Amino acid sequence: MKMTKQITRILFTLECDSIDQDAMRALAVFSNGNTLELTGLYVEDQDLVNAGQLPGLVEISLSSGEISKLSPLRVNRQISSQQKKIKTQFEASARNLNYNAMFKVVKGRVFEMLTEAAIDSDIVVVSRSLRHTGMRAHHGSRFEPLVSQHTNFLFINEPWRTGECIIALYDPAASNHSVTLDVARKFAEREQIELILAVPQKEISNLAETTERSIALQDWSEDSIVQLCQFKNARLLILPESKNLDWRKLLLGLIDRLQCSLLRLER
Amino acid sequence: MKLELSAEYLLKKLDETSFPFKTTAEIKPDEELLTQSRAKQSIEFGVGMPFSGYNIYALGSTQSNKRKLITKRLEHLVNGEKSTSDWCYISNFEEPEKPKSIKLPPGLGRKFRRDMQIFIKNVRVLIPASLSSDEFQNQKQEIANALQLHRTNDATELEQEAKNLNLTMLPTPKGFIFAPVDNDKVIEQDAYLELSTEQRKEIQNNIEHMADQLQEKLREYPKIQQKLIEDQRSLIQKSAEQVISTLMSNLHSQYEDYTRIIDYFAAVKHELLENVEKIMELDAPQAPAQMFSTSNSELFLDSFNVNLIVDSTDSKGPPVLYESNPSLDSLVGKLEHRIEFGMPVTDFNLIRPGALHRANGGYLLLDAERLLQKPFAWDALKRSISDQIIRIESVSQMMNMTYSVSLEPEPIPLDVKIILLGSNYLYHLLRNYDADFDQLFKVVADFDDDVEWSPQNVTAYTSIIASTVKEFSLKALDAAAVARVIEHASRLVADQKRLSTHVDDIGDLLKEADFLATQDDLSIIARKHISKAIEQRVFRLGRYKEAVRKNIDRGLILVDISGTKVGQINGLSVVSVGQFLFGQPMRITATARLGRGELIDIERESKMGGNIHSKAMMIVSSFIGSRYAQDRPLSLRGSLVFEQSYGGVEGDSASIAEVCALLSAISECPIRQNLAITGSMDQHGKVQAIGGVNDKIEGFFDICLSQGLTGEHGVIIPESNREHLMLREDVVEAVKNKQFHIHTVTTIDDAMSLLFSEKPLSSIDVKEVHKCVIDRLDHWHNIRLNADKEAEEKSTDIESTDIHEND
Repeated sequence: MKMTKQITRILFTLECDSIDQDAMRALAVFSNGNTLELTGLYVEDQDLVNAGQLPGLVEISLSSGEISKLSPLRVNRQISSQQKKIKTQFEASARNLNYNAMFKVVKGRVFEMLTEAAIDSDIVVVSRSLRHTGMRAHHGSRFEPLVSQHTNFLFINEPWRTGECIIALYDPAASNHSVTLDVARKFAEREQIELILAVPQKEISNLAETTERSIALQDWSEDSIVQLCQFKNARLLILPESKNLDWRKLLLGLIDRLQCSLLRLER
Repeated sequence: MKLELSAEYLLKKLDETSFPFKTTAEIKPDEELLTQSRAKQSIEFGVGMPFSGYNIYALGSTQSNKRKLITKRLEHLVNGEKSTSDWCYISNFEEPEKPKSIKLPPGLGRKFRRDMQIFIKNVRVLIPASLSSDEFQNQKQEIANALQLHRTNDATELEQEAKNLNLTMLPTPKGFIFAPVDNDKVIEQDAYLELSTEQRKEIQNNIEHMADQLQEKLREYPKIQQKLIEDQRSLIQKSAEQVISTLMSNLHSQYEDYTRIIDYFAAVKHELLENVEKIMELDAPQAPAQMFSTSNSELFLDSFNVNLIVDSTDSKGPPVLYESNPSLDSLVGKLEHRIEFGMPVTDFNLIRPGALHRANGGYLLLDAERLLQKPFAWDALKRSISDQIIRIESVSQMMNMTYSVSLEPEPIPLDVKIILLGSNYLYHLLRNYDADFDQLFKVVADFDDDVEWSPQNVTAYTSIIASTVKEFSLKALDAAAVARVIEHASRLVADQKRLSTHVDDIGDLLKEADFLATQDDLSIIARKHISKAIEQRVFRLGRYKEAVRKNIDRGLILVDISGTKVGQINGLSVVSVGQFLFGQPMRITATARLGRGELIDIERESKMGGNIHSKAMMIVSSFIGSRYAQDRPLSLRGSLVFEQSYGGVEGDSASIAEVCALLSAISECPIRQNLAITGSMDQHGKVQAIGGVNDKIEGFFDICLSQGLTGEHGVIIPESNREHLMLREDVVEAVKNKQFHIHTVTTIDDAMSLLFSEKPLSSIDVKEVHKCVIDRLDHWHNIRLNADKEAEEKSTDIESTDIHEND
């Protein structure tokens, strides 16, 4: 089974505290013998820069709850320091993993820049800092432009090495059903963990062709999927392009609530 | 009364035809023991006394095989009695440095250990299984979801509220800011400054409000997080407790009679519930650094082991143990250590029992000399007996030199009889120098070095021989060889009525005889092999003896064995060279002259005589005085010496010889030199028994044999020594052939009648000798009287001259 379209251009968003090298290494499943081109995108958030110039704004520390005054200098220094740190990490990780990598800095509003850059990429990898573990920095709805764009994306949530299985939603009616299954198998093989197919109750009889363990789900609601992922302590949830559901709503809900990473294959 | 002994008196032989076997292969080994009734009764008394301090000190030679005798006796006494208890050490979770001890009936310790192993094995499997169950995971996720939901809701609420106030919530590398927006974009500075003061004031108020809201929520998070952890922990504990309770319910019913175990189960349960995460870590992948060391979790599980230090499952009664290396550790046990990161560490699993633990409830045999040679062992033993507990202490602890954290295992009550095996010398040393000894060892079992030559003991001897043969895989002995061994056992104690108890000696003899039989290519040890083994022993050790004999033959050591001499007699001595004893004739000479009753012992004057010898000389002096100076002063000055003696003289066995030499010197009656004599005497001239009679006779015989037996050579011994004769077969043969003569005497006159006889092999009436002695003493007395008179007159003349001159 072959993927219908090769994934070689990867956009790695870098508004994060550190690069998850394990996650970056896992991207190798897409290489399929080709060289991956990795673009590390750092967006200097225009909103943040603007906010820094406004008088009387304060920053609330997430760790201590302390309030401190915001200034243009302070904001610029934070952005510059974070950018430098991320660049070093990104380049070192890419070098270690032997990827063709490019570090790119753009100025603008994060989600606009992300959506724009996604056009020229085969997959967007959203590192977890945009989705702060303690308290979400951005509600799932912020990703709506990205989701609506029908782009392949990978949300990296918990540190990559946690989790004990890969769960793939099994939908034979999906246009990229076989691609999704193929990628899921490759991830499972590479990570050496179990692949579990989450199958709609009504499809369970059509599973003869697979050797993987399957679990029947009453429905593919947000609640059912989140529960399954938590219950099985999933490392990655893989979603195919299904026509049976309101994907946009489901995805935004999952981005909000999932603990594990999420791979969406759209095309 | 004097008597010449015929050959039959010189060696008691055992009739091998009386044995009910042809070879020792037909004898059941170890069935009989040599009779030591006094020691046996002492052992039985000590064993039977239920009070403390009635431990036993077994006196006697180390070669007498006391250990075997006592062990057999004890095993016989305890036969049919109940086995002693099992003892275990278990972890003390509250005070890990003080492991607890548990006493259990025999066999239950092993079961308890096994049950705990199974229990922990099950815990290790079932708790992770329980915590991985769908039910548990659902419950755990529900708790985690609640927090996650809480946070999501908070973020949504804040974002929504901010949106309502025309603000946006932006992440920064460190936290969040709230900024005013226009059309979903943060207002730029210029636009912001164009706002009226009131509008900006309102925005600032809104931002402050949102900041307060966020702060408030953030303040709650640690508490919520803590509650989550507690809820999850409580859930884990609840699930684990169900598993543990189920597993333990069966154990509880099995051990309900043992309070300590029930308490221990409660402690185990508590400890497991407090450390469920350690159980969960057991099967988790290890970090590379941990792969080379025992993980904390593994060590945690080890703390539920049962260290069974005494296992009496297979015992058939109270233990009877012998500890061959009675060091401190071997007695009271020890703490072993393992090395972790270069540091020695220990725990209750590394407690090792000592002999006191293993013998608890029974009997422990210890070699006293070895015990006293081991540092701190004697002190530890005394303290254990006295306190009636076994406390495991290291040398460093005993010296208060412990610098590292160690264990203090709970002492175990001690109920043991100690049997110390030691020498008489050590016994008296301990009594004199150790104040506790008498209180702790109140029973003395005195083992003889010899036992009666009775049919029962002969049977026991054959059994011992058979046992030795079996133990060392020696060739079997035929009946004649067994008889020869028993005769040798009698010779070892120089007594026709006794047998040596030094069976170790006999064991060595059998091994040497076995070697000789092998050389002869025979499958049976015969009498000749035993005899030859004895001869070869003598030969191997006999270099000095041989040298003495040659020096006598060459005339370097003067010993006359023919003719007669005045004032000279052949005494008999025993020379000791290490473990080897042999007889040697000594020339004793006496001189006599006019004097005032002085008898000079040259040995004593030269400080070469021992105390007993000095005492004997005083007896000789007293005898001479009482016999010859009843009605007149003894005008004699006599002197006696052992010629060519360079190593000192001790003992009283030359008393008769000395008297005879002195009387010969006084009377000038010659003494026969082809006779040698030994024997002590009392003040009345009665001859008394001496030691080493066989060696002494053989010593003189060897000299005579070397220079040629004439048929006139012989020795005179005390009559009371007759039953001690166990002479070599060649001596007996010479006597049988009239080549050598052995006479017994009961009085000094008997001895004199033989020694002063003019003709060989005859005796004279000693009155003649006495007359000569008296005449000579009278003669000296008269000279002395005249001399004293002249001296007195001279003295009077001088005094009267002085008076005149004064006038």
